[in-house]
Amino acid sequence: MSALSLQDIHASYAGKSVLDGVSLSEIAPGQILALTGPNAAGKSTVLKAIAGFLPVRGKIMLGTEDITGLKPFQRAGKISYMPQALPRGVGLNVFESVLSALRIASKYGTAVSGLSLERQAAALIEKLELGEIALSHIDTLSGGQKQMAALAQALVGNPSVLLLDEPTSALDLRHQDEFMRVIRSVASSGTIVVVILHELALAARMSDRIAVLSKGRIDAEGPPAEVLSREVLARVWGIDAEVTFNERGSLMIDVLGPSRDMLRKEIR
Amino acid sequence: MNGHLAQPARMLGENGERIVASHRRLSVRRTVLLICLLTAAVVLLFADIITGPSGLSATDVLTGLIDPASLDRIEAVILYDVRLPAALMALLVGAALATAGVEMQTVLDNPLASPFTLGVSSAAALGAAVAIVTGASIPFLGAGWFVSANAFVFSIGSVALLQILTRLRDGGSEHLILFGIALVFSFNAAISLLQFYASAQSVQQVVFWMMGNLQRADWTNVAVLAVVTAVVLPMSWMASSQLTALHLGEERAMSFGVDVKRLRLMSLIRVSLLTATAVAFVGTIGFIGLVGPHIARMIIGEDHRFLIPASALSGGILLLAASIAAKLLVPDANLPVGIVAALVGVPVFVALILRQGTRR
Ligand SMILES: Nc1ncnc2c1ncn2[C@@H]1O[C@H](COP(=O)(O)OP(=O)(O)OP(=O)(O)O)[C@@H](O)[C@H]1O
Ligand SMILES: [Mg+2]
Repeated sequence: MSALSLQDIHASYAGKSVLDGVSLSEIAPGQILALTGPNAAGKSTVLKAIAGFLPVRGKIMLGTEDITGLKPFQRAGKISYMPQALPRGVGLNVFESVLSALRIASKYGTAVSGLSLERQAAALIEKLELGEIALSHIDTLSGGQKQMAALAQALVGNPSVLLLDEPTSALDLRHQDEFMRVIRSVASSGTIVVVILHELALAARMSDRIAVLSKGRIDAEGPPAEVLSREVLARVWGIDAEVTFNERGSLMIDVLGPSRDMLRKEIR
Repeated sequence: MNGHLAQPARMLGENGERIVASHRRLSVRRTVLLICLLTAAVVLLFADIITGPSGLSATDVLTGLIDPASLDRIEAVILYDVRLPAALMALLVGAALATAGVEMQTVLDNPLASPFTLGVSSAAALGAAVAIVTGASIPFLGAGWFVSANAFVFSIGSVALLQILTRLRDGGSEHLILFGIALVFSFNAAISLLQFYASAQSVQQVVFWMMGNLQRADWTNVAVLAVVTAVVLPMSWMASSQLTALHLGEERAMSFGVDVKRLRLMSLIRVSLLTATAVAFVGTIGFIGLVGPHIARMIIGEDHRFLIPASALSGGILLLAASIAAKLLVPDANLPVGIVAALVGVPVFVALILRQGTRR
């Protein structure tokens, strides 16, 4: 089984440096890494770098293979990316969208053989329990349902790595929880998941590891209980918050206000 | 490599079977719809052939088509040298422009795109205008051919220019559209400049050329367009899965394994071949390339395996309808079909926008 790792990744947009030496130690198959950090920290850019959408300096390894120089379409089947913004005006139903992804995957030999494409698509829909909405047009779905449809497309071709950019931002509490449970079951079959989450409690509960990105660098990385501390929240997000884990081990964040540094800056 | 997702159960559950079954029903329905469109196209083709100022009846035409000997000389000329090539040209041009339109809309991710968005038709018009105004001609070819050939060369040249310009920047669809618009304006300015200095007679010819007219059709250019269409349409169709994937989003498509840059380039080459050939022979016929795909989309949905043939047929049907309307509305006037197509196209298009306003 091959692990994913990032070594000293630098990236920039139009000369402006956005990622300034991002390294992530090996993420093993079956693991969920939650990537978090303030807006504009560069989280989406990290995922795009892994997906191959922008040129980077550094090294992205999947197992023993250096995939840094591969074009995005050459990473198909290895790496699957679910963007932050979902498309509008799609005009396809959920099943058709999955099927059209499968058609591409089958051409590049990343799909499972032995079953008709239609049956493979239906099996995936069943697995994700999307039977109810399978024949609805994507445009007519709610935000959360669209997210599930997008996930179904992303799982086509059995990627080794699943990249999810803020998949839970549009979801209510129950659907956040459900979505992350689905992700957990996907991971448990051996997929590496890197997911951007703003909800720290959800990230703490649902991930094996958390990486905190701040201004294009990894500020802290490790098990949720170690990473999420009062200091990190003050340093990275600029808020003063009491961080506790309750008796069930759930993360509780009680935001008191801006951090002292922030206050000092504002006064100045 | 993966566990449970990699090996979907050989047996589908009840839900899965239901979904597969209803998807197959949908595919059958779409196939039937395609057959209906094809039938409509054939019927309109025949209707177009029997419509015209000289009184050839439907039975005359039918027997004439089966047995040319049954017609007298004039009737044979009208049927075989005027009506038949013009009708086939309408079908082919409509199909070519609407196919080019649907590819353009998907590749530029813009429902308002058409084959003319990036300046292909303006370039053709400029090429034609240059040929008409300078009065030059290629040796061995007639003057009429020189106009078409020049129109073709200019449109292909404009696409090449567009490619070079977008290569300089990072080739996204927005840049493509912006550069295309810039080209449209430059070509139109150049045409105006030519007209400003040209003789009144050539100005009139240029204007008439730009209106789009099927009466220019003869068997040679029907054959050329037929060959181009017969080669390019299947290639468009073979890209249909990739185009459908692209429709789900550019990053999505790349993540599925589509080489989007290549797809876009190949698609633009197909679009420019279809458009340049069609426009070179019959002039500018607007709206078919915009409205045809939208009608097809409303009938058959977004799956490009069905959408592309449906667009081709809708385009052919629209232009045949416009051609018939032109002949019926003003008999004897030889009204340019380009004008009628736009007149028919505008209300259809407005109605579509009003209906779809809530969707996008
Ligand atoms: N296409 C682009 N062109 C120029 N700059 C960009 C582009 N995309 C992102 N940036 C810049 O890169 C930085 C990081 O952006 P990124 O989208 O990775 O942030 P993020 O951490 O995902 O933020 P958010 O939580 O708001 O989604 C920002 O300063 C942003 O302005
Ligand atoms: Mg982001």
